[in-house]
Amino acid sequence: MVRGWFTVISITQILFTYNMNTLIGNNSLQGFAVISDPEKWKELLSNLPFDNEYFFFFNEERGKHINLFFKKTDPKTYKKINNYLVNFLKKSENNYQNTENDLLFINFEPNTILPIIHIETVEDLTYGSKIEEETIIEFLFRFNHVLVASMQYNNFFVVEKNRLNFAIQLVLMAFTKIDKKNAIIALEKEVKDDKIFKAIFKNSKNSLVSLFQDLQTIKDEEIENWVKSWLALSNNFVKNLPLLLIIEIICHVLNLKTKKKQLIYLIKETLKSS
Amino acid sequence: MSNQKFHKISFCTTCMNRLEHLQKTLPKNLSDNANYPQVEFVVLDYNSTDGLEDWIQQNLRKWQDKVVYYKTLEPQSYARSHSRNMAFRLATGEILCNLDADNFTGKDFVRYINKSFKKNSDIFLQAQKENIQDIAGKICLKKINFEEINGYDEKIISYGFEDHDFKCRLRQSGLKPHFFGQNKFLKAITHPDIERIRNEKIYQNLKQIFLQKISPINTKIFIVFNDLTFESAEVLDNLFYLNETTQGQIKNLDTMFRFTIAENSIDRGNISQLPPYLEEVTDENRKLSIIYFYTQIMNKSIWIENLENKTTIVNQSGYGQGVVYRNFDYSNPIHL
Repeated sequence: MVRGWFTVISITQILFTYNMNTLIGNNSLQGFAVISDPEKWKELLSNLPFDNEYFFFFNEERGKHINLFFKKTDPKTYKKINNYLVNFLKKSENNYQNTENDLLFINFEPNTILPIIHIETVEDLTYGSKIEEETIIEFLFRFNHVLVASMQYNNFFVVEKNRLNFAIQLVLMAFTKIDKKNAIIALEKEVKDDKIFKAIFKNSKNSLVSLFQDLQTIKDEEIENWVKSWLALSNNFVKNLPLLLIIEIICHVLNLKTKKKQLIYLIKETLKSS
Repeated sequence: MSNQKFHKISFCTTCMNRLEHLQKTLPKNLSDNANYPQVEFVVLDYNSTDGLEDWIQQNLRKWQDKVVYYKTLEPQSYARSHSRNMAFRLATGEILCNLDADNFTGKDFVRYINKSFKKNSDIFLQAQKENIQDIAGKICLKKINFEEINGYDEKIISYGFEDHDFKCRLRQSGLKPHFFGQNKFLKAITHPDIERIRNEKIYQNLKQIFLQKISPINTKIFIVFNDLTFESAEVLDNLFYLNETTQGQIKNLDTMFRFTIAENSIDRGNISQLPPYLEEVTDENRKLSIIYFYTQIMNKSIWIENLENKTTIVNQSGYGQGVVYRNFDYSNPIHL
């Protein structure tokens, strides 16, 4: 392997000479990984010179990076994004170093970009075969608008504990936007424990649930944008996607895959204990 | 397939030092399927040393004729495909079901199997949620279909993909998979991964593991055995594209395909001196994880080869061969 690949290079030439028929869906997505300082993620995403829809995952595999995907676009736009990323990494001039943590492989060189020929999402989401891929992608596109809006919280997302707390909020808010009948149908398929919906819908003293139910009654201008976006998104998608899939996507995007069970358990216990 | 009301159904369990699991599952499985008239539980003791034989002997009478115990004294380590082939060959049912030692059948699973095969002739049964690791091997099929494809591929010796390959070849032979999804049929004892591989040759004979980390997408794994032989292979992560010379060979990847063995990279032989650039893995958990990973991707390459070559019938020189003894009768060896 040529080490030179891991310096900041223009990926355009590689991608254009390459048959990119391997991405998710009907060859409709392109993507790459940006191996960079997590503290720069907010800035990187906020200034993307790109109007089309895109989504991203946080990832720590072989070094912290963002996997960024967007609908297949024309070469001119692609070059523009590529140039933006190259310049961004050059400009950022940070001393970020990856800490080696992979069992088998060495880490990626910090401050580099790499074309990705596959995204692991759908296969990792165990519902992939049952649900239209396009629906999940659409959800991811919109979910990322929520994340970009919420990333105004400085470097909030760098810290795992914060991401976990954020995920809990998202899940609880999603619960408030689903009617009882649909929730039962959705959850019954996955968890044979009716205590969770009893706790949500019958126990009005639940402070966390009440909090998020209250959110819906507050006037629009008093709610932060990301909250409004998430409530709207929940409203649209919890009817189409099982709640557990939404939780799974949240965990995947926020790089909390190993915390998924903990998250579900925590939410369940919170609801039950109130 | 006969037209009788109840097909004879054999649950086949192979066991090497899994007494702890079998003590929990076998009595429960017997009781959960007690009302079915034509069922047998074949237990193949693959040369266990943990007291399995004594435990079966103490309980066999209680289980009447429902359990048949076979023991083979030959294996020094656990061979997945071979052991399953042996047990399947010994079973006398028209329909066979592989049941790992840590698997529960679930209440009346035997009736569910019978009903399924009454309705559909050209099928095999498998768990709906293949991602539930512990029940991926629970496969039910007609014995004749097992024989038609020469059983599990015995090139697969260690952990991983033997059942996947088996199911794929059953499909290639024209059978349709039918899925059981009821939670009660998907129960198994959860246990550490070490128990999956500790009786296997690669782990039993393991001396050292070395890595040569070449790049973020390829690493050479170098396994040295106690007899100072070695096996090595280069593992690729196909997620990222880093090499411009490999254009045009990209597959539609999913998790199953993400990690592969690099072409022509497998090497075996005697080791005289270790290459100096290798990094030794000393942590026991890391070693276990690497072996667990390595055996799976090696086996995966066998499965992919069968798939790409459309190979349905394997084990051309025979399968499930060896000597076994039935119900503690060591005076009458059975030659398979």
